[in-house]
Amino acid sequence: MPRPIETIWTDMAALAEYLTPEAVTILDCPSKAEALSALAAHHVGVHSQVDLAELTAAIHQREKLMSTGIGQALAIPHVRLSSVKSATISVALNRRPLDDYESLDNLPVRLLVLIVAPAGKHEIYLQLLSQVVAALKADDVRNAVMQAEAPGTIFDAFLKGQP
Amino acid sequence: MNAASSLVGLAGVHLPMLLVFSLALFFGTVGGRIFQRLRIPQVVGYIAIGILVGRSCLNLIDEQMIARFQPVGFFALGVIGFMIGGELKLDVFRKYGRQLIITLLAEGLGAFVVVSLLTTGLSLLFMEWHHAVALGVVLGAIASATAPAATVDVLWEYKTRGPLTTTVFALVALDDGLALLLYALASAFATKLTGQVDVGAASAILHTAYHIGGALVVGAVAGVGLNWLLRWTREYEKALTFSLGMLGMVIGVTRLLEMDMILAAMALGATVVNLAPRRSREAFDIMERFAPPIYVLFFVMVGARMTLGAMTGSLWLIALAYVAGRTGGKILGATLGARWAGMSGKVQKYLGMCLFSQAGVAIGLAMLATDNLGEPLGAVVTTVVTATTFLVQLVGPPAVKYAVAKAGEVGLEVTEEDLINDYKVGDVVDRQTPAFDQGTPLAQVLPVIAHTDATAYLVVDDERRLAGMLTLEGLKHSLASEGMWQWLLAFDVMEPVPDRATDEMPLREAITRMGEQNLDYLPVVQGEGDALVGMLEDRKLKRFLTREVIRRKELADEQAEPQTAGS
Repeated sequence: MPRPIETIWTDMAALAEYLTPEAVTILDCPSKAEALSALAAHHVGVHSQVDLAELTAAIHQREKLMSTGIGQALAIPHVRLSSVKSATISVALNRRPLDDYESLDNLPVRLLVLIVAPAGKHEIYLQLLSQVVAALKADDVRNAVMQAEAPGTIFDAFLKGQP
Repeated sequence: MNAASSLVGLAGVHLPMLLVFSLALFFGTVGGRIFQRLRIPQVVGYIAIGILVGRSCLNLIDEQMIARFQPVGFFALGVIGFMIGGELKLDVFRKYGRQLIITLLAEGLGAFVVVSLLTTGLSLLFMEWHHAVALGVVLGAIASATAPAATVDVLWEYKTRGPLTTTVFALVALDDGLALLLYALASAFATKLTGQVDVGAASAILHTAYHIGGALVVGAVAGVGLNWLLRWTREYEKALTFSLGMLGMVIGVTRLLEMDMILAAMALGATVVNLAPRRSREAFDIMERFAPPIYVLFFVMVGARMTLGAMTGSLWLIALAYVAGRTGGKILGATLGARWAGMSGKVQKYLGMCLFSQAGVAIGLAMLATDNLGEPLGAVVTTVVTATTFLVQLVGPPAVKYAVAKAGEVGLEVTEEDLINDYKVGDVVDRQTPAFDQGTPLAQVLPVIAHTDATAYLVVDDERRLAGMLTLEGLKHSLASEGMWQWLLAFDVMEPVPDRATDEMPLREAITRMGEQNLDYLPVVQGEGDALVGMLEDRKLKRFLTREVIRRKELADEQAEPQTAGS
């Protein structure tokens, strides 16, 4: 059941502290591995304090344990790095459905939300995960993001829950 | 350097008193530690160091220095008396009073009779009969005394508990009184026999009654006073001051009035423990913590004052007869006494071996004999008692250790603090604590947590190395979003391990670390690879220690049961 719009707005207000318009991108990768690498590279391009090699290794270590594809075309790769001081988020919409993502519902993934948090900020890390999931589980928000064609539109849709 | 504050030691070197004091403490403790490593009671180590630096060897601590340390010796004996008094609980005497009196008389009189006969018989070879008999009865009376200090120090060191321990505590406490009484009678008889000033048996007994009875009164009155003071004292510092002050006063007053100092200190301890068994525990704890350096110093001085002097062949023979007679008499008397009293087989078998030590009272009585008997008999008594003390002080403590070990009473009188000091982390670690693979989804983690009572859970990698931990506090944040449980893993919610212990780490160190970092748990690993062993959890550890203390006490009490049945 869709959540009341007020609660989504509250969640989004918190997410806005960690997601900037530049951190949103559109990709056209053929596979999960390439999409994750491209998303990591984009994240480091925006947040230069994050080390690309460390980030890529951490993302792949987590994916090895279990896929972060949580269903409904959504994936949330998330890592904690001891080298970063603050939490950051990047969003990528892949034009091509990623069939090899091994999602929980076995359907292709299109939207990837990368959460990078400091190793010691356990509470914020879990809160961000929870808020991203809660926001994107709402059909209206998710549909708006999936149908966007430019990063700016995705950012607006992501934060405002409307196109 | 002030002549009053320094004394001439080896090669004319002046050693300040405080330096000697500190060196005696330091090297005494080192000696005790070395002997402990060799599985010999520490007290032998203290005495051995004393012998090394004393009159017999290096003469770093000479006669003058020993005299200056005499107050420390008095205080140490007072502390020991007080602690022994604390063991004399009325309910023990109500239960075992008859048995203890029978055993006391048997072991004391056993040593008295055997030593008297042997030394008299042997002395007849060297002196006239009336001198030989006088010497024999005086030595016999002195032989009945057992030194409480070195004996109970071993019992404390090895944390013993059980019927043998209870009996030894009671006997060494009562033994002094019996020895004083026997000495009073023997010296009255001897002085009459040798033609010295005849004080008369009645007068001697009266004097002894004053010596013993006065001490008991002084100790008991002080005990009532200390009990009253402790009732109104909450702070540790004040309780310490009152306890030490009262003990010091008892020692001083009995010295002034020429009463038995150890008996008075025992009466103080016994009064306090029986008036307020619970509240007085603090007074005894205080004394126990304060006492170790005093004991070390006391026993180093005991060793330092020992001297074999110029022993002639005949004196060696008498000394040998004294030791053999005393050892045989104590064992025979204790065995028969324990049997007549219906004590358990272990007490009958091992009690005698716990009663070899001889020190303060025996030497004190020997000194008195010099006054009572005059030369040359007095000198013979002093030399024989001093020389044999040298020997039995080295043999006595290991014999006590052997006896209590054979009786199965070692390590049963423990507190949680003792266990913490003795254990390594590997002895108490919970090896069954649940550990999650880092790829385990929360949906599988949470039911396990719901059915176990830990406050933290370990997370391991593929090679079972410690990767992190889950705490209830940390998990709280993920509980709200039930939808995430399917894909959120232990890896995602685990927190870094704040610290870790190893199997071999002393438990004391692990607990200190937990306290410093305010942790309720500490993961335990092995080797450099952090291979998981288990978890040390504060709550479970406390439960384990309490259970272990109770288990050991119950074991000791079970051993005590045959004694009751036999009575």
